[in-house]
Amino acid sequence: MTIRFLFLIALSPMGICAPLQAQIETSKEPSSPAAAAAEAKEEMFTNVYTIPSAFLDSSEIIPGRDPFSVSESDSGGGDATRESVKELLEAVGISFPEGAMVTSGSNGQLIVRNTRAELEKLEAYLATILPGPEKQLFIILEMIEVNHTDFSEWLLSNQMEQDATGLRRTVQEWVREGRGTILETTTVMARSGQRSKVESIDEYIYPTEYDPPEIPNEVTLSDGATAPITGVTPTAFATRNLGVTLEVDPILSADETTIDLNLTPERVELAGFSEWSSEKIDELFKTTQPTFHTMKTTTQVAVVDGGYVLLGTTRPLHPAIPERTDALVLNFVRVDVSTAAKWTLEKEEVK
Amino acid sequence: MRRFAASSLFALVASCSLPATADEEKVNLQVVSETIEVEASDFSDWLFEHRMEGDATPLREEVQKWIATGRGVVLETCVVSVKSGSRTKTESGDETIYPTEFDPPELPNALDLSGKSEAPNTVVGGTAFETRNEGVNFEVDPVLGVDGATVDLYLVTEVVKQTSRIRWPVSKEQLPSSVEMPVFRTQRVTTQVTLMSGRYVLLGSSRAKEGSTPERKEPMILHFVRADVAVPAK
Repeated sequence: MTIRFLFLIALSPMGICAPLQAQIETSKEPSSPAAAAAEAKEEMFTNVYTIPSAFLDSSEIIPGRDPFSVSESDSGGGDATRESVKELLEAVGISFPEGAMVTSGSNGQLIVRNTRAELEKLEAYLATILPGPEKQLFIILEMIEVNHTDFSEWLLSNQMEQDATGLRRTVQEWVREGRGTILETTTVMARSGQRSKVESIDEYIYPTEYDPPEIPNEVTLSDGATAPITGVTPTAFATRNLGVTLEVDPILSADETTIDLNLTPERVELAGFSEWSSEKIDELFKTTQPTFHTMKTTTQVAVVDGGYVLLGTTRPLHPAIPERTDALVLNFVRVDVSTAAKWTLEKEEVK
Repeated sequence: MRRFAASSLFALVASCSLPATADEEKVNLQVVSETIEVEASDFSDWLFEHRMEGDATPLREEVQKWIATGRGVVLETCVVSVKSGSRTKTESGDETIYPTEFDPPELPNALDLSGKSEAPNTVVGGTAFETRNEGVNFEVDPVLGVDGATVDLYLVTEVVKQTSRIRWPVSKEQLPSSVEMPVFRTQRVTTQVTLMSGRYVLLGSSRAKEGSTPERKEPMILHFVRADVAVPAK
């Protein structure tokens, strides 16, 4: 940006100018020798401020008013627009002595010629109204299997805190010692107030309805013929997602360090099949249904930026290692608040 | 003299080829989606020691080191060019059509099987079907920020693969009235993020059931995205 403007300034005396598009606002020439003398005392500077271009088009500066755009009544010319720029800045206490001016370029530039004191007031004003940095939330869900006895002993000698970072560090030691296994690490980047979802699943389609076996209404059998018969036939199906699904709705608080999480982490596994028949019958007539093992927590918690929270505990279908006969799964969540981009007030001085 | 200098400056600001806003220039956005498989332990250790930042370029560079040493592999790279404010979708894969409804076998109402005649035999048949897109599907709705450098992305990225078929009713025997249904393995992230042009964001991650190589026992899938603002040359 700096190089670009220096380039412009270098070319300026060469007169390489296209039709003037930027709107220029200059004050009248000094009307008296006294005014001219006063101006000479106070040196003028021309500054080019690069700010979000939408700021110049927005109505955030004065609620209900769009000071930098041309209204219907102004559409015949740019004088009203230029006046509104100056009026706006004057309304917030920035004065424009003789020789001062203001214009808005098309690329988010605000070009101001004024005294040092007035420019400082302008910069202070712009700094207060520029939009804040965009915050994003990186949500980390961990399912860690540990020995039930280890966790019970820890629970007996420790009080549960909202910040479970201490417990998480202890669990990490258990993992390094082989007394724990990280089953799942699921993460997702999200915005405050918007729902996000990450899925690592098998879409498992299973029958929900069966048609019964059929035989003819009337049948005549002779010569040892056997009656034809059909088996049960699945006719309607549903889909169950096997694997891990994390759905989260985070809201960043005003202090930008506390996050309210409304989340539903879920891990589903196929445990087996069940046969449904009243007695031992031919395979042709058996209806089978899957059995799903679900570890699911539906909750709302408050999380501090960078800190862990223990959402809860669940039981696994099978231990991650056969030696861990009594396994328990701890569900941790952590949220890291980060900034994707930040507006900055870029300034280039032209004396 | 003062007026001349001011006029020249403003005229140049207006006339020179500065990057303009998205609406004025209709710039293209090159959105890059990468699906990378790494060792779960590598990522978990990294995550435990680091904060996740909005700019995940350092992590992406670290992952590239893992790839160089065989501890990771880029599974998918998907690039799409789109104008700001336009929704785009790129799909690369098979359209698998599978039955969702079946009619059972039928028998006649009245049947005479005398004289060693055989019973008519019908089988179960699919009567309604659905289509599932396997492979890589990437749908994105990017909006270039007012500064011409930040990009808001509304996106869905998914990798779908049919892994098996399940026979219903489940039986050791091949029954004449049984039907088969596919199982689709899906890795999907649905979210909204803001990123800087040319910088990576980690959309999310999840464990995979199987690694791309037998040696990778505990694979983890990372979903990265990057958007490059491409200003057309004048």
